[in-house]
Amino acid sequence: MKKKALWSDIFREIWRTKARFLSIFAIIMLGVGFFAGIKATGPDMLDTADHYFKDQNLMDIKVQSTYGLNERDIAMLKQVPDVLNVQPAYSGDTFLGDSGLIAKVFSYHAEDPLNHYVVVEGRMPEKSGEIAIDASERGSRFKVGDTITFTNPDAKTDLEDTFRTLEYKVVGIVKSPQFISSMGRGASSIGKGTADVFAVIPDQDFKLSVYTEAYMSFKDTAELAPYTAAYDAKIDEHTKAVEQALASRPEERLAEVRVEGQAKLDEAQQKIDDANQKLADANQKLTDARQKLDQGERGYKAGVDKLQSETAKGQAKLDAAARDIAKGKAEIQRNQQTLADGQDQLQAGQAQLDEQKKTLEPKLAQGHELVKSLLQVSTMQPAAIPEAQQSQLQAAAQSADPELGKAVAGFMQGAVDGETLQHAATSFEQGLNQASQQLTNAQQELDAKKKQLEAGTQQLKAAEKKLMQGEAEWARNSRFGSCQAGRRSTVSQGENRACAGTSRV
Amino acid sequence: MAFVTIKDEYKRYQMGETIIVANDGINLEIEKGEFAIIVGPSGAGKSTVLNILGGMDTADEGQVLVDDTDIARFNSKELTGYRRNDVGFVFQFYNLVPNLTTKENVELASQISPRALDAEQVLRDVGLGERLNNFPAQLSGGEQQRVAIARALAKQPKLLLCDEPTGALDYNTGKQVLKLLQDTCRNTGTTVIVITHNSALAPMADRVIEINNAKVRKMTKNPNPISVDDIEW
Repeated sequence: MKKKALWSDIFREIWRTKARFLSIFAIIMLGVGFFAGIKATGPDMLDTADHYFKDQNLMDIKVQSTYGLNERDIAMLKQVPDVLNVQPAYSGDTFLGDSGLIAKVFSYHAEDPLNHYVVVEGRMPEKSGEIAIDASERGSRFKVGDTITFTNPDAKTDLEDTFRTLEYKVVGIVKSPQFISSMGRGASSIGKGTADVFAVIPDQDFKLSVYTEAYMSFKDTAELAPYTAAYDAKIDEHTKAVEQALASRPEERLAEVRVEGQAKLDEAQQKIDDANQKLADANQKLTDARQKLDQGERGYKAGVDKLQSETAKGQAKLDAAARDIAKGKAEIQRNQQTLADGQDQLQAGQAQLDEQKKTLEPKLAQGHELVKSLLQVSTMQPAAIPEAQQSQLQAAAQSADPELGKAVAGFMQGAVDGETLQHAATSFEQGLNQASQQLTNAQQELDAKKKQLEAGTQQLKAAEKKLMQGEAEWARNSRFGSCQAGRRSTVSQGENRACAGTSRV
Repeated sequence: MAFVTIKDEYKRYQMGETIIVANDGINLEIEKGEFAIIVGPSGAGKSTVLNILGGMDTADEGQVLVDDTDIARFNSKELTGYRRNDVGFVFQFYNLVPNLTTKENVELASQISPRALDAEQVLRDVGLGERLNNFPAQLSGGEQQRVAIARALAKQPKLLLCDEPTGALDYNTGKQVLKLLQDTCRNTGTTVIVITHNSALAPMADRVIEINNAKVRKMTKNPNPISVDDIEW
């Protein structure tokens, strides 16, 4: 059946309205393109991943243990059915220099069958001290030829336990099939808890006694594509098989580790016991000390009370003393006055006496002369005595004592005999002696009075001294008392020093 | 056996809750080579009958026998074949393909039909020899209708169905078209069925079928049809 007309109709219609036709064509093409593209992108990405993983021989399973894997574990892994490759490896976390980046460091050996790296620049590390860095954004700060130092700001971890050397030279920039995202590099045991980049060093640069992980690949998963149900099912099977293979290992390792650990534990327990003992002792000391403290506090309180009462008493005493001192002062003043009066009296008396003496002593001397003369005369006959002497004697006797005068006169006349004259003369002398004795007595009395006065003055002086001492002491004590009072409130440095200088009551 | 027999044919249209019965028990017969006219007022169901006869619609009930085959039982693939091979349809409003020339329009039909006539010749026969390479937009109404008729004729169908072919034409052009149809019927022995609501044309037909209100009211045979030139209206 020819359809020429039909076709020519179609083409002519299109040609006639080509703009519209092309617009509609483009619109539909866009829609279909979007749909097809989006539908295809998913499978395409999975396909790309599949090729990448197959080319780089990514592992199927990674086995890790909290205690690491030793040779026995690796041997058991190799026994798992259908296993193709088992690759034990080391890994560790560290900070890179002072960049603040946390790196997950993997061990590398040129003959590793799994997890091959894609070298973007440079080459893989060959000798100790060489390192290859992640080709990611964060790793781009390191270039081939840079030197990196592994650091860890935490003082408790020693990187030397994990790594043989801490200085590395960057020889390559690599990509790993384990990390297809540009960001996450897994969890880390240091720092903020996530790793920023990964790094690869030769396996001889790790110093660990056990492997940290083992990578495994299987024969029947080699052809399957990742992210498919078939692959996941196979992996589940293999995971179970691996877990079963290593099922007995935890117990065995535990036993090994336990023996080691027990010794340490016992040691530590001993330390704890010792420490506990020390603690108990210390507690005891503490209680004792507390008791003493309470006691001391009570004593202090008592002391304070006592101080207060004593201070009050002392103050009362001081006040009494002050009053006494005042009284004493007054008495002293009175006594001084008395003394002064006495002194004056004494002086007056002495003057009087001296006056009297001045008048009496010549008279006494005259008297004695008279007596002497009289006595002389008495032995003589009155007619033998010269007239002048007679009149002199008479006058003298008369002035001295009328009785005597009479006697003399009498004698002279012959009325009185010599014995009576002697008697009169001796009694006159006696009288004189009496007077002289009186004078001497008076003088003695005066002297005695003077001595008394002096004694009195001495006493007074002593009393004054004593009073002054007492006053000084009182002053000191009252100052001390105020110091004590002052100490209980606010005490200035100077006052404190002054108080310190005083002695206790 | 009549060439076309419609027996108890029903066609209903369901519009929501209402049912419109377009054909309510149609029964008619048409002999081979007859020029039949179906008359009736608008909305009587005439076009529905023609559409069913032409394979463009399916009856809900009844039998439609064309040349001893019940086309009411046809599936859509069979109907397509029936339409392509056995039916030529002339529409009231021409329905020509505007992008194709007259010749190509006729070729459209002749190329899909197994016993087609030469398109150019048919066009000359209808009197459009000068207009072979003109587009329908460049033709008058009558010329366009003639192209449509040429298209229908080029297939040499068993049935030539015309749905009010002169509806859009003036008196003279209409007469011309009807003349063409009559001549085709006489000369080639094609069974021609024309729908019209012009009852003055009754004398030119061999059979007149009156359809009114979804039913065939009257079917009359005309033993002496006259040429359409002789009819004035």
